[in-house]
Amino acid sequence: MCIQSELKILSPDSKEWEDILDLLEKSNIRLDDAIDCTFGYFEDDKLIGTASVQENVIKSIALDSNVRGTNALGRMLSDIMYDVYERGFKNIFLFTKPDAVNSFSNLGFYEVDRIEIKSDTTSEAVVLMEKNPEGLKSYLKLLKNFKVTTENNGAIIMNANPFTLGHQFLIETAANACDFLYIFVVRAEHSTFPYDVRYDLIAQGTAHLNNVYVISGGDYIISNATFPNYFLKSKSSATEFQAALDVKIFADYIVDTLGIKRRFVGTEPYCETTNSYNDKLKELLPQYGIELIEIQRIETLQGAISASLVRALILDQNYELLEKLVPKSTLDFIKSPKIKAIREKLIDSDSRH
Amino acid sequence: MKIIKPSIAGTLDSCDIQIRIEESVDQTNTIYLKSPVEKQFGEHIRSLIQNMLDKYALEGVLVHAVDKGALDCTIKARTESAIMRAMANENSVDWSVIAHG
Repeated sequence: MCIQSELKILSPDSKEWEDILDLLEKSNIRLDDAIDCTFGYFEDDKLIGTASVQENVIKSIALDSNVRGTNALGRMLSDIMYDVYERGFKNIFLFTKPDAVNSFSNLGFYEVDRIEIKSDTTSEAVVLMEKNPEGLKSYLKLLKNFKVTTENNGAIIMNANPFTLGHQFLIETAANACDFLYIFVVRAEHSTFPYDVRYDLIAQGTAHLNNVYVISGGDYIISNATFPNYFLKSKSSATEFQAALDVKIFADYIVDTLGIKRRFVGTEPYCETTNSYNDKLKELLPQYGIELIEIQRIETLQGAISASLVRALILDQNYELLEKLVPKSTLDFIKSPKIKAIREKLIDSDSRH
Repeated sequence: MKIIKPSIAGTLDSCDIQIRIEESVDQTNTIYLKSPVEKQFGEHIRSLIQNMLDKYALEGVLVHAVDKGALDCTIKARTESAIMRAMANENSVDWSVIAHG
């Protein structure tokens, strides 16, 4: 038996798009908002499967029920996996439902965590799986290098795009309120300032504090895998789900590894997604025995200090005002030639974070 | 020997085995295997992979193998290709001297 198989990248303009939507609907899977592309998998010219990819995360996977049990899923996935690896990613994640976990486990995926959200009438569950059997383990191993002997440790997760006096104030207040503070920097590259710069500016802006560590958030803290919609502008139906999953991974693995007792967030006056994430934190963290402390943002004459205001001022090259909003280390960077590439990005970008 | 980059060989088709090799977090070699015949042949498949790692004296690698009922020759060949790719050697292999015992 020889099967003619083909994996095609499809868009809403493609003539097969209706079939994709149909297949998803039959399988009761929704097409995720945060995706780079959607694949259609054909055998003998018939659409039998679909999956969508965002960077190294595969989601919205559906298969024609007639071909289940024929390993069509394996054939479709190995093609997609080659594509992801070829783009340089070292690990591959996927989202699925509990009843499909076995199928993916047989194809070499390992469960990271799962979340179930119940309402009065429905119950919906999502499982996050990863290809590397030691993916999470190696991140936790990295974290263990930062373990401290104190007991009352706190954590802040920040994107800091870029680091402002507001971030600095949040960190200083939090560091005062616990023995040791871990600052996790969002690793994903969806921001105007690249990860390396965001990390360096946080490290420089907190160098005067002797009870903080600045650590990469890796693949497991607000990443494409745990919380892809964090990087979307508008709130979508999946946002609540992902926020819950992200919190659960944090509580199940990160907290125990480092002895974290409380998490700090700044109040969020502007961004809807961050705001709903904060609400989710308030609701869920106490259930895992972690305290959530919300710290009021500092206000200036221009309103609360926000990184988006800072970015707007960078675009205007308003150094006088910037001086009042960012620490010296960030200002030095803004005045350096390295800002050129970032200004160019700002000119043609409308990204939120 | 150390690998230079992560690599992959093989597919998830029936009678094939997919081998992914990457750097391990520690210095030891670890082999993860998923196979429908794990109970009957798991140990044998692992030893075939281990022998190939030994042939190239590799250290500190993580292998995840997803077997779909591959024969021994397939397992060896897929593992060897993955190793070659991980050592960025796949285009300079002297096939005439590749011997399988």
